[in-house]
Amino acid sequence: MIRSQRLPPLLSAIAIATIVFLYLPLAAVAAMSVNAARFGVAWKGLSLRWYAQLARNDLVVHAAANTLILAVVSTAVSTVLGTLLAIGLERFPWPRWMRRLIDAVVYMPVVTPDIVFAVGMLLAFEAARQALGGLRLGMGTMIVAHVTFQISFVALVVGSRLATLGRSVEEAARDLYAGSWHSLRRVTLPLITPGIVAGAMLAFTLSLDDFVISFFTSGPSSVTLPLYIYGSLRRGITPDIHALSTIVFLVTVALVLGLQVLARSPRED
Amino acid sequence: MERPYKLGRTLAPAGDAVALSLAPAAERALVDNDAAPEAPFVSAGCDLAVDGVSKSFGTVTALDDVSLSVTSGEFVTILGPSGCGKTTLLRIIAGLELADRGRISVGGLDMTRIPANRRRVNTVFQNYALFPHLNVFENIAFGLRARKFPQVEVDRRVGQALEMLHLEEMPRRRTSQLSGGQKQRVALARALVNQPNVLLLDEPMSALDAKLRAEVQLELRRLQRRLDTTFVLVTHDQNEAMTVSDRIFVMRDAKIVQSGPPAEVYDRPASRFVAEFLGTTNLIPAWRNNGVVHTEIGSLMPRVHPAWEKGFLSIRPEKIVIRSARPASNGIRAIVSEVFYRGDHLDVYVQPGNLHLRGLPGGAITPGQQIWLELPSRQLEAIGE
Repeated sequence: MIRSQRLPPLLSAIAIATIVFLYLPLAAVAAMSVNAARFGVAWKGLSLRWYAQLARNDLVVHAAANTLILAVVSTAVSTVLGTLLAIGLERFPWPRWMRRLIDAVVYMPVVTPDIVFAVGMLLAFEAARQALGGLRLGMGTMIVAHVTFQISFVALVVGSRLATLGRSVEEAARDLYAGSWHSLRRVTLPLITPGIVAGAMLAFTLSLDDFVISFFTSGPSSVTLPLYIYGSLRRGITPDIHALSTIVFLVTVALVLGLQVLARSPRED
Repeated sequence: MERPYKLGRTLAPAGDAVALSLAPAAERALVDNDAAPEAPFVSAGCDLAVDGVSKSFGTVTALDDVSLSVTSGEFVTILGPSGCGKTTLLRIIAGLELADRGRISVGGLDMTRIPANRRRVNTVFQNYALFPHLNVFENIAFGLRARKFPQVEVDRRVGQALEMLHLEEMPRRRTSQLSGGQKQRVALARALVNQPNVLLLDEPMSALDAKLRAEVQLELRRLQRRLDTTFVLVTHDQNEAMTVSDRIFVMRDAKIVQSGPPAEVYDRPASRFVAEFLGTTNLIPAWRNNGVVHTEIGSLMPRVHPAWEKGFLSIRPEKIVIRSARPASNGIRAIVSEVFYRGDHLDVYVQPGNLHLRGLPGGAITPGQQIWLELPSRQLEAIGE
């Protein structure tokens, strides 16, 4: 155990204030979601009626299903593609300038503002529609858009895992008669699995939370929870939105915690 | 069944044939094991030839026209300081790196373009590179499984390997639970279980402490004699090279500068670099005049008369002899300046020339004493810069 030194009081105070500042709004939303009051913020007793009401709301259930389908499908696709991309980037003997170029391209979606990325996707879909015809905004376009930015995150997470792993064990596998496929399946993939799972969870979380890109690329029938929440806000904040927000928040927290556990337990000495 | 396992015959048609050639090898191993239970591992040792190999990384030349040949069952060491290209040479032999120019052949077969996984050459890596997600048994079994050996055969061979390297207690252990010495034995077992034509060892002892290293060197030498496999060891440790090998190849700046049995390389260094890199030596600046080699401490006669005008005479400290009277030739009158007691020998420094003597002289030696020294002509090497 590493014993941390006692923090100076001012630093502690700032830290606590920061945490309060960050989490008070979220705590308030969670508190309101179990408040029996229909209007206002006065406490009228504990109640789970808003959660029950959510379950009866077809629009919400439909949006939740959409969110999950979008997150699951886009995560699955982007995890496979992102992992392949990472392996190709880390293991192929790229000339240095080319590697730098590809790295920049991969990083781009991570650093590009969502709104710019979303408009770009929308333009791309519009161009595709005019070229091919028949393309409608909806779940399909949303999945494509999500996969496009998720790939970068997966590739970065898996790539860093590959870089840490180094090439020596793969060389040992080759030296021991393993062809590329055998080495990939028996050595590389098992050893980078924590990275792949972490990348997938990150991609899943990003998809679940995404509003801006979904907003631009969705169609009328592919409303997700963030879009639903945004839509209902225009009609005024109702307690069931608090409940919904709390659920989304809790799921995200669970995923992030899982991510940290995985990132912390590499299976090597 | 009768077919003797021969790489040459079975590999000739195509690179892919290596996989096919393994079945007879496995059969033969079974048969031989009954015949000779003492030596469970069939020797598959082969000649190795490196012919004019060059390799550059960008502007850095790692190997410059390197040639060497090793006969089957020989234990050779490639010795050199770090950065001399010795590891690159090993990686090229293993197939992990491709030579820019030149040829590698094992058992008379051209291996230059054959990928690592199709060469019957196995490596013990410097950091062992054990598979962290597999236990000891599966680490050792990896090469056999990659070649699709049946489970029975895998069990049998891995069992033998575990026994041979005293790892019987720990087949199910994770590699993270092993000590440095155990990891090294697993790495050895993992390579040897495949009965390689050539076993490559890349600084295999650099991670071990001095005492364990000495033990492992002996063990390695015994193992190699028993298996009769061709071993190529890369090291920067001259003691290690002297201890284990039949022949040493000394490398410097991407080239092999001298090769030969340890005693020959040690006793007859061909250059100042080799003389200083292997053990300690007295380097006496010398020049030639009218066919006589002169030095600051008098004219001396080396083993072979030098071709140079100006160079060095080299003599190992333990080869200088103390005489009670003036020796017939190569004698020097000297005064003892310092004496260091080392337990099993003395290190003595004398003037002129600050010569270093090592040994156990018969009588007492004290600073200030006047002595006669003989620098025996057959131990005195004339070397160039």
